[in-house]
Amino acid sequence: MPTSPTDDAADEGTPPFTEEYGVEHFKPTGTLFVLALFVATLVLLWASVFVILLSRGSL
Amino acid sequence: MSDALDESVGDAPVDDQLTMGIDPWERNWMKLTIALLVGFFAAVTVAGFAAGFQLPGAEARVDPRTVAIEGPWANPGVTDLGNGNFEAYVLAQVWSFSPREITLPVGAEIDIYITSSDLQHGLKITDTNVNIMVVPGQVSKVSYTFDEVGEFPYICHEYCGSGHAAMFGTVTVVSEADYAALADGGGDAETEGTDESAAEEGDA
Amino acid sequence: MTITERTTSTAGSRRYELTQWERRFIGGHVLIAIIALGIGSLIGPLQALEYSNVDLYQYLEPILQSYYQGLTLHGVLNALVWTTFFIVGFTTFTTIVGLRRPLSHPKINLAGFITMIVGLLMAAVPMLLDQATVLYTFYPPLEASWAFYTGLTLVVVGSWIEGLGFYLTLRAWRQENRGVRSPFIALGGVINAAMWQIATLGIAVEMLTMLIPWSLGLTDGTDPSLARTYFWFTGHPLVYFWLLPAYVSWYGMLPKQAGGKLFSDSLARLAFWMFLIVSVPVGFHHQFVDPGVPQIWKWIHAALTYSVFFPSMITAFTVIASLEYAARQRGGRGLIGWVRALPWTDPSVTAQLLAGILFMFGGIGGLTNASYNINLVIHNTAWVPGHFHLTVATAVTLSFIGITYWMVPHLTGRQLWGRRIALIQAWSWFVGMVIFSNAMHMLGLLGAPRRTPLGEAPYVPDEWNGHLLRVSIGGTILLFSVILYLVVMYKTVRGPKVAAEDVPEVPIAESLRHPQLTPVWLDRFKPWLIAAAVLLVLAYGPPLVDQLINLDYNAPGTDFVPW
Repeated sequence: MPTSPTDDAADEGTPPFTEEYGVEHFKPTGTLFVLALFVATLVLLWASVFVILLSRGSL
Repeated sequence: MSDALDESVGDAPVDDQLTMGIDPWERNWMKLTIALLVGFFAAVTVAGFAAGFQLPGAEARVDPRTVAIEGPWANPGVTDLGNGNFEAYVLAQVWSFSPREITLPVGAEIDIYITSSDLQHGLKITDTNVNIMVVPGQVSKVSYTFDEVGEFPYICHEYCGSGHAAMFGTVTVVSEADYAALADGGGDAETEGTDESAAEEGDA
Repeated sequence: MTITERTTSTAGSRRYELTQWERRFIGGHVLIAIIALGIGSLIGPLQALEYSNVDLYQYLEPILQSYYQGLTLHGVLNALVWTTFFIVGFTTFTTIVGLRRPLSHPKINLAGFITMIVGLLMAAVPMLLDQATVLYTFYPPLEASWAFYTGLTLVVVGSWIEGLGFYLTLRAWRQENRGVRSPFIALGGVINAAMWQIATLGIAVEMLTMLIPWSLGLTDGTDPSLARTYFWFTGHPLVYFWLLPAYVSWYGMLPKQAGGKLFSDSLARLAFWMFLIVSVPVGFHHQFVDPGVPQIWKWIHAALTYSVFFPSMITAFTVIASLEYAARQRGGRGLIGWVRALPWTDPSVTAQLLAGILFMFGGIGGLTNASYNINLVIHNTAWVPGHFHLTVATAVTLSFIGITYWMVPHLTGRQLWGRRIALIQAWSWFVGMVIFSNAMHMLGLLGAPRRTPLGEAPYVPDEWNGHLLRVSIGGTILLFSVILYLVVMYKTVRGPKVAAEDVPEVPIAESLRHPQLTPVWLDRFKPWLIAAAVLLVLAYGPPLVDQLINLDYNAPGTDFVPW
């Protein structure tokens, strides 16, 4: 059961301003996967327009 | 105003101990983002400042009220400077470009100076990197080397009133031989038959 | 009272109930916004069909005289009126509900709203009379009626006045809550208002020193190059003025709607502060091929534009991670399968998720546009409206639509009518926009100009035809989607009032890490405002001074009305 800042544990004297107070640890693996796809798409699309620029000849 | 806003925040306790608590993977993401942005920006900077793929800059100012009457745009057209170098003064007006046609030999390097005597226009030559705004009061200069034979429309891409959709011209790039034939005032350069005779003339 | 007690009492269940005045006041903004969106979006398909040479304009005289008049209305109503009125209304809402207190000076906000309405009416008349067919960029020397310029100026001034009301309310809250972090949804709105204040200086100067005097006959001409610089000073941060309220929802509300929490309170705030400083000093990326601006300044603005991409990348991670957290709470599993566990049956959530998906492509296109010389490939081509229909017309508009799916019921004390229809609306917007926008991007790469009725253009080659057709198809699907939206909204507000417990609650997300742990420099305006001013002076000072020294109002335009 994730803790929340309003939990009783906090009121029981755990000092509030520490790194551990009310912090939930969650590793966003799905986010990393989605963003990997995003970055791949970004690089591919950006590069293809850059290539079009280069292929149209210098001024 | 901002002082008043900030005063009302007051002092947060244990200020020095507060960190942003950034997830390590998000921190990596931020670094990756910066690396990507730096990489892309370096690539376009090199292409722009060292490889000739440069944007137009500030060229000169003119008076749009007289530009069509006196000065180079009073007689718009293309000048052959020799050695494959050309210069064009193009005037944009509602709703046409003058000249409406530009014919060049393949390999021609052309400097185009364009301005408007009335509204803002744009000029983009299809399949090239010539893309420029045409602003009354300003001279737009763009240079290009036409390495391929073909027809390249130049289209107005800034709204300039009801005739905007019809405002375009054409750059026709022909072989050197065909261009020479045209320059000599001889016949149709479009037909296949003239190639031989034009080549003979060129050899002579 | 200890900090712990104070902060725990500000979190969680204690809710603010809007008064009837507040509901009507906010509702008034939203109503005007939706009407503007309705009219503006019904015109869009006329343009899309024109690309296939289907001319519906002939049946619409004397309401619409031309493609260009329609395009002006479409742009002004959608990009300026729908957005500004919704944003000011939504910010009023998040200020009150986020801070859990009424506006400190409601008469100021009301005065601002009245000013906006007067301005809107003033600008609407010439637009409808075909006396302001100058598109939403109104580049001189195209000359519109003085009432058009003055009306738009008043809309902006009205938004400043309401912005003042937001600052004063936040200030009052801070005095009452010393040491407590400003609630995120309220803070985000006030940061956006501050950024807007700075951003609008450009068009304010353009209107007051050039366009209004000229259209009143007090000067003979304009300096179009300088006008472009003024316009785009505002024109770029304008898009962040649009985007930031959507981000307020994505960070501060959507995680709650999805059943989760905000992944990082600190980074949400940092993103907003970064927008405050880097949204404005970037305008030359809209002027990359302008004749009056030196290349070095274009390059500097390109670098700054790259840096404003950074807070959006932070947003991507933080928002997606917040959604993933929610999905896994709901039982979602797998590397990508978790996406299905999000509440796709909720039209507000679906609309915002779809908006976010298309925004990823909009962002990629935006980065491409900003990439200095790459702009040569696409400037003023159909690619550009392809890009901004993904951003303002989807990321922003579809998100705002999603917000109305709970906010309008909340404001009116009713339930959303036609949940399934609302879902179809969101999905059809997505599908229509994918088809429309992709076709426009392809047309742009092929060289098709923007702002042009391509159906009648003589230079259209055969290879454009397939894409032109897809634009028409996409536009038709979007027409269907808009009609669904208007029906859902109409039926919702005309429906019966329901019991209080059946009215949608305001979704306010908690964060994984308590906001009180966020460093205080992410809750102070002064350092960020100073940084914003410094960057602005560095990025715009020298080139603007140069253009002002060479100021010459020598461009009178045409001596006939060109449209």
